[in-house]
Amino acid sequence: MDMQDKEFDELFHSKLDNLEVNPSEQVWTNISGELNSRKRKISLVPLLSIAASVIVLVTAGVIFIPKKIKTDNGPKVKTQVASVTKPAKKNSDPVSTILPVKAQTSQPVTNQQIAASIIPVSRHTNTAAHGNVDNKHSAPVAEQLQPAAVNTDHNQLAAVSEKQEGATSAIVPDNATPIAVKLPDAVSSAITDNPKLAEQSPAADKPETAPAKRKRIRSLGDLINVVVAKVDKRKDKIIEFTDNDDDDESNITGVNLGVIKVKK
Amino acid sequence: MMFLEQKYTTEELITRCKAGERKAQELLYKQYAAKMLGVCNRYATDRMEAEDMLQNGFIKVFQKLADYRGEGSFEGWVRRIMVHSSIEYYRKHHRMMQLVDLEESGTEISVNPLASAKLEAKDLLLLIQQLAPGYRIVFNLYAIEGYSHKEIGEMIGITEGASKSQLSRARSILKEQVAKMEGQKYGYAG
Repeated sequence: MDMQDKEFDELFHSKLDNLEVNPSEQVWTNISGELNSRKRKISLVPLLSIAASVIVLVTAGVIFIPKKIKTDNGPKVKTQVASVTKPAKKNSDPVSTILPVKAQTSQPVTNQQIAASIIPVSRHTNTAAHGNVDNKHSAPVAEQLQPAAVNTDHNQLAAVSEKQEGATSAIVPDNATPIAVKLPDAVSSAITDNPKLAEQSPAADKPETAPAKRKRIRSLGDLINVVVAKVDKRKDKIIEFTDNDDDDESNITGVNLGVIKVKK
Repeated sequence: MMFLEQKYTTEELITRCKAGERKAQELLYKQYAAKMLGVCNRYATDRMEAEDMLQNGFIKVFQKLADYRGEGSFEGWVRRIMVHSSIEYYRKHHRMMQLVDLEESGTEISVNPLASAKLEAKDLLLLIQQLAPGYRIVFNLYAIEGYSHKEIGEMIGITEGASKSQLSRARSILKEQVAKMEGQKYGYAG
């Protein structure tokens, strides 16, 4: 009573076709792990492209910022210069009042003027210069000025150099040392700029830097926002990212190259 | 496995899996894992190999899920992926398609249908697993999955004739083994 091939096949088919065997737990663990690693590989690509574009834009920004600032803030500078010249009204020529200071032949008028101009700065910066300013009145002004200028933090120095139209426009905003070295030449301008700083700092700097510090840095985008905010003082930053908390991917919301402005 | 959470229909599960929901993927896996391991088992030498095939197969299922258009049963679709994953496994790990020449045994082996009907599934599974991979795959594809020799030839890259001859050798080996097993079980030799 031999089985035909068909029957023989059917024997195996009927017994094995619907056979169920429970796999070990490890199988799902492996599958889940494999799916995770693939997901990570995929999500890394847009992140890298964002990082690359940020590097390009920041580099371009650092190169072009000094020029752009001049054109951007043209009217602003004028009003500030106008207000600066006001306290110097007593002296017919602002430069002449400052030159003696530099030469340490201090006159009472200029001393007051300089002291007045320094105090707002030191108040704002909260550095050691604060104490110096209170004690000094007839002390060598030029010497006092130098620490005061150095002590003002980078942001303000950057702001100063950006606003100047003349000699100091060549100074790189990020770098404090060239300014310190150039002081003999720059003292005059630095002094006249101090009131400018005092006016400008609370108005322009604070609203931007303060919220940036309060926020926690959660993503690459946040980090870049903070760094850019340090360097770029404009309202529209050279590059801005989303400050969305629930989104773990950073998206560019604004680009400002001076000529080209894009903002979402 | 059948009394698993039936909160979602298969269609809902598929939609959620396509969206990349890990929980849905796990539910889908749990719904089909036992059945599919049953399939992979027939193509494997042992349980470990079968679980490797199952793992590779399910990763492919999740990758290709976007291509599933709802034509035909979803289980059939998953099953086809498992079969291909099993064949692929051998392509990678063995030079499986080489024919293993056997001594032709001149005598026809007779199998008692009544006795063989009492053979348990796990016994038959063991017999299949002991076949050389080339025979095992052809026998599975033809006798259990129901593919034609032409389809089998295309699937594993051999000629239609080679598929036929591998099938008949697989059968004769299995018949021999079934007869032996019946003899051991019921005390008489076929």
